[in-house]
Amino acid sequence: MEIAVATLMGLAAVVLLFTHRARADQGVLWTAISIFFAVLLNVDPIYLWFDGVLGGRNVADLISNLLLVVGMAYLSRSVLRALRGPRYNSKTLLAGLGVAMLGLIITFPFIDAPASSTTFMLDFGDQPAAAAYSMIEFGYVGLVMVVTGVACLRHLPEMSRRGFRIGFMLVTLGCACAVLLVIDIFAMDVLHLLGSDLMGVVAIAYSPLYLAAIALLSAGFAMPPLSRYVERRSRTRQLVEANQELQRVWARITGEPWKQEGDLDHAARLHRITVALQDQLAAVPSLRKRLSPGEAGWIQQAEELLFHAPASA
Amino acid sequence: MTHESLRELGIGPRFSLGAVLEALQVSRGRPIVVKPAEWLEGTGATGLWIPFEDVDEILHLPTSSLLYRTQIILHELGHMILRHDEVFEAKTALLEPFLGQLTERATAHALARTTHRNDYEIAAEKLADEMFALIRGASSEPAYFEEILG
Repeated sequence: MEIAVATLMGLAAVVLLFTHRARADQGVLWTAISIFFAVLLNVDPIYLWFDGVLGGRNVADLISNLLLVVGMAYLSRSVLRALRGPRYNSKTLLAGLGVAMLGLIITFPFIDAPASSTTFMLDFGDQPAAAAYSMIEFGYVGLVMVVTGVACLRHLPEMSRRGFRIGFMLVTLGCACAVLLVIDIFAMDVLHLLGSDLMGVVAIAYSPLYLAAIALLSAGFAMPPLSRYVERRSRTRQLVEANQELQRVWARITGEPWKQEGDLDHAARLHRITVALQDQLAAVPSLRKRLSPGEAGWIQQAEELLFHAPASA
Repeated sequence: MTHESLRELGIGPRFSLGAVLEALQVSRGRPIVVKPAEWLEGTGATGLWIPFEDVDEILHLPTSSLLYRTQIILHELGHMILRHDEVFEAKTALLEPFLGQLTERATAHALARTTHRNDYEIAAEKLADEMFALIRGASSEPAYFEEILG
């Protein structure tokens, strides 16, 4: 399961890396990278090798958990920036991250975990320090997931693109699964500490919730940038085609080839020739009657494209 | 690159013609009235800004093209942003076609968008293009979701 989870998060990281230029903030990319490495460290052979390098005392588990917490901190900052603006910073967020990291670092040495274990909490979770260690980590994860889920859910009805609506709906569902997962982990921690047999029952929900949360969050965060990328590609093709057609219209009605000044992007070029054509038609109104329906259609299409084209196209 | 004067207007990611009009009305402390003027047809001008003492009036050639109308208005707003009403040379060369159409007071202050382009006209048109690019690039998603998570 860890390999599947790492693959999903890795794919999300690749998509976010590939589309990073379109975003003003890379928090969500750092989240995907941090969680990818956190999950990767949980793949049994990698964990055993890495922990062996670090002395075989499960320090790899601490590092993996710290990476998860850092990823969550980036995510919470990005979500708050998505709500309040690209320059938003919060001391509370930073304090939250500090408390969670310190909590993990302080509780970890109190856990008696003498040998590398790929089932860390199953093996050592009966110790109060281990329960505290787990609850600090997942308490923080739960808090970030609640904030993220509520923010996405609140803004879902206002989203205009299908890719955004579906993407953030998946994120909302992913957050809901993650919150249920946190509740499940809390229950397991307490039951384990109490030595209750019910832990086995509660543990059944762990794997499906974990996989569902990661799958939904990965797909959800990858979808909006991916949909914007596809939209940009399609728009660019349309802009180039409309530009060529309007240059033909310009050459036919003025008798001269269109001369483009300056280094402009496709949308700005189309905008300039469209305005210049309208200037010509305003200066010599009789020209309008000489436009074929196809030529008038291209001017109309160019205008529609320009009111919806992304700035960078 | 965004023109310094545009940044000074302090318009956020929802850049629109309405947002520019609103910001300029606030910064100039008086209303801006935009209306079509049929009499501009045949004058060689497509738009005209008349900065009266208590109101800024923008006249534009009637057109069915939303893009063209927006460009004409943005051009006149470009003059306003660049404070061309305070530059004598910007006005004198452009008003020949309107003598007789405007009152003496309006003629003394008006700035037109014409096919004849001097440096002031080029600057206003360039700023209009820049503002149009910002309108094109304005986010269609809520809050800052597109910029941060898109």
